[in-house]
Amino acid sequence: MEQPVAVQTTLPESRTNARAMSGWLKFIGIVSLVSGILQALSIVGIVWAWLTIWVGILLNQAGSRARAYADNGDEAALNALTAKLKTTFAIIGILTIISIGIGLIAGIVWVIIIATGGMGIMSTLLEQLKGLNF
Amino acid sequence: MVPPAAPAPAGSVIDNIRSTIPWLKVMGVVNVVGGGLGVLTVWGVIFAWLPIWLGIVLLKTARQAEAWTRNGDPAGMESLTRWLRTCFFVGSIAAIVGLVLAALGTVTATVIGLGFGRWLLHWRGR
Repeated sequence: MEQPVAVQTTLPESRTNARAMSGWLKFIGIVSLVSGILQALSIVGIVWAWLTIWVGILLNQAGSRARAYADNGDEAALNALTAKLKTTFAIIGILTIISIGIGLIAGIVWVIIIATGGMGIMSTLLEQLKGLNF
Repeated sequence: MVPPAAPAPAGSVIDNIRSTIPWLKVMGVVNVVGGGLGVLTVWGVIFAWLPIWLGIVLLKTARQAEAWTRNGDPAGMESLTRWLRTCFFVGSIAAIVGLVLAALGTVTATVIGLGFGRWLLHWRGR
């Protein structure tokens, strides 16, 4: 069990870094928010668009907390900033792991399809397409 | 010039950072490996440096976060915020590159789609 450590959280350079970070956080947040809304417009994209929108909102909130910490140097703002970053990194991390899993499953399915005569099916389909009159 | 403020204990801040470390490592490794695989493809070399750079920055941030949560020294805190700032800077560059590529992809797909449509109409009328 690790013991909590008492630390200085209100250092000038940390606040300068937080000020610089807040702009980039807001920028990535807006990009994420807009891309989430665009994904939601595609109807099928709604399945995962809410996660992108959620990440966008969290990053925007983190940007605001970073600015508040830079301005006032209070621990509450730093605590809120790190809490938002923790949730954001967890969501992105889980999404990354899920994406890798889906990618691996898709790869295995493709290998199975090709190995079990997918090429034959494709050539039959191509023959039928040649016979179609547009 | 940022005015200095009084030191304060930050148990929950450390807890938050401690919980973030595994995700920073996962994303760091995924980005480095993804970038490494991108280098293996011909066109991927052009953009593979970006995920590799992001991955290295994420891993260094994780290492700095580990060191800071162990001893909580002020210099470690400043270094950690510097690395976090770099993380989001590189992430923003990746977002800008992604937006430019998406715009180029949309224009290319539209041009190809229109060209294919015209070719189909021409082919039907023959």
